[in-house]
Amino acid sequence: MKPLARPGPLAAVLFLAALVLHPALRSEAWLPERTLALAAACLLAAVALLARAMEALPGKRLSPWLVAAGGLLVLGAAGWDRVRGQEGTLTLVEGQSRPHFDERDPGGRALGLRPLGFVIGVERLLPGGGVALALPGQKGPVELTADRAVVFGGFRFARPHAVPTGGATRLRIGVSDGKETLTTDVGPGQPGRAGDLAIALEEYFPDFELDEKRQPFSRSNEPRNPAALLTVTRAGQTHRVFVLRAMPGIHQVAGLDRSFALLDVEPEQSVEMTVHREPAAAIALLGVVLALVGVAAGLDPAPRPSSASVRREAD
Amino acid sequence: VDALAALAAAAAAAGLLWSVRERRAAAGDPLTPALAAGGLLTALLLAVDHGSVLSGGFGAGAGPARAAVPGVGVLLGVALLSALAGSLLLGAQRFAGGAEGTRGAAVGLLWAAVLAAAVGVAFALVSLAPWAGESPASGATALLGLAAAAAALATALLEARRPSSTAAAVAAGRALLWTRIAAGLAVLTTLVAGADGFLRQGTYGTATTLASDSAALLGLAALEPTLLASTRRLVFLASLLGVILSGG
Repeated sequence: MKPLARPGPLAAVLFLAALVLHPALRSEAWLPERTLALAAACLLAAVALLARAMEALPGKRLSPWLVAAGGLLVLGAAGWDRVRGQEGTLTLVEGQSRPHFDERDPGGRALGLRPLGFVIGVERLLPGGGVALALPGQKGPVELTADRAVVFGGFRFARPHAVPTGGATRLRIGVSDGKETLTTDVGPGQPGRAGDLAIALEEYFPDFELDEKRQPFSRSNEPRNPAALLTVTRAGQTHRVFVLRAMPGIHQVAGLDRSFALLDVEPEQSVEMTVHREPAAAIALLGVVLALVGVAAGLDPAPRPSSASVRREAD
Repeated sequence: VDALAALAAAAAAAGLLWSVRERRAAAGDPLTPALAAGGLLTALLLAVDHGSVLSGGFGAGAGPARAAVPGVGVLLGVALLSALAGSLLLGAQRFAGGAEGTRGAAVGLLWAAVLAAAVGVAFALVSLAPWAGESPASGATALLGLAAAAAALATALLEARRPSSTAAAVAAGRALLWTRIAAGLAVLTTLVAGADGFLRQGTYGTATTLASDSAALLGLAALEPTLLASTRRLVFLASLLGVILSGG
């Protein structure tokens, strides 16, 4: 312990921990076993601070002891939250409820579904990106916004943002016979009519593309190149019509004498929010407060030379 | 978080400057800061009011709204000549080596520059007071810059009068004090960043908190009385600036 209490090794150990910890240095990219290395560096730093406190001169022990105690508490709390805490995401569409969330480890790997112990739902989407959450035992909906997390059942729900599901709630279809254009809205299970035509949505592709076998698929859930396969019925005869927003009238169907265009798409949105459970957060807070008091307790308003400068003067 | 990190960075910068001054006082020429401050005052006197000090005049504002302040140009002209002569003498003495006799003359000239600049600035500010809020008063900014440069030169000259060992000891103490203040503010930044993350993002483990944690550790490392003090304080300052730039 004694060598670690010396200023040189102590500064080196603190510097090393700071280096591994700093997010901008992206140590996870170049440091093998980064989690282990981070834990080791932080533990070494805490032990070095403790050693410094033990070696401090009588009458000057308060500051180093408080800093060491604070460091140990923060390290212990962060480690406990890492091991016993949970984090992940919860994705819900309007009106949907779930009793679990998608857990992932601190490295971002999916760990599967983790039960919440209660059912949480999205009552409605709010303007500005927030959501009104439906929580058990609450009189009304609880608003979750980008600026305020919601705590319930030991979990904290935060940072709601809209995510396209890959579906569409409404497609606006234009039907033209060359003289006039009629429009109608269709959606899943909600057919529309344009004159004597009944139009129903069969399949929707938000980001249409053809694979090697010329089969349609969607590259993503984002509505970058929306297209749809429609079922058009007239006088008991059914036709399949393909529409692509980027190319109106691409599909001419024999016997219908009409051209079809996908004019507009209202994508179906879900809300994704983060979920965290950090049972030792209060202990981490206490540790930082202790460290702060420790640093403040070491403040000496009377300017005095450091021991290094005294040594230099002596030389 | 940004404001706290900025305060911590300012304190860390003060600690770094005192640290550099400690090294210079222990090993170098105590008049180097005076030489730099004299050069700065000379440059400002040349630049103020578009160089009108060179012709013995001074005024504020432009065009029809310009207000000439008689007498100030002469005082600032004296300050310019004294600061230029004092700085050149000090510089020449440093290049030539030795010639201790010229140091006294240089210091005297620099004090004369401080005095002339202070009187000139005070007189100009009093003369421009009636135009407060109008166009000529905008020249007061340049005058305040001159006053700051003259104050810096006076401080440097006073510091140079201390024995080098005393100056180094005082600088070391102040460097430690400011670095400790900065380290405390860095820990406070961590506290606020963690609480902010917890309340708004649901977790205290945000990138801002980690960056603040890292800066606080570097602050503690910068407090240790060991090798590379200035370098450690520079890294600490850089880490605090990183917290601000990352949009804490």
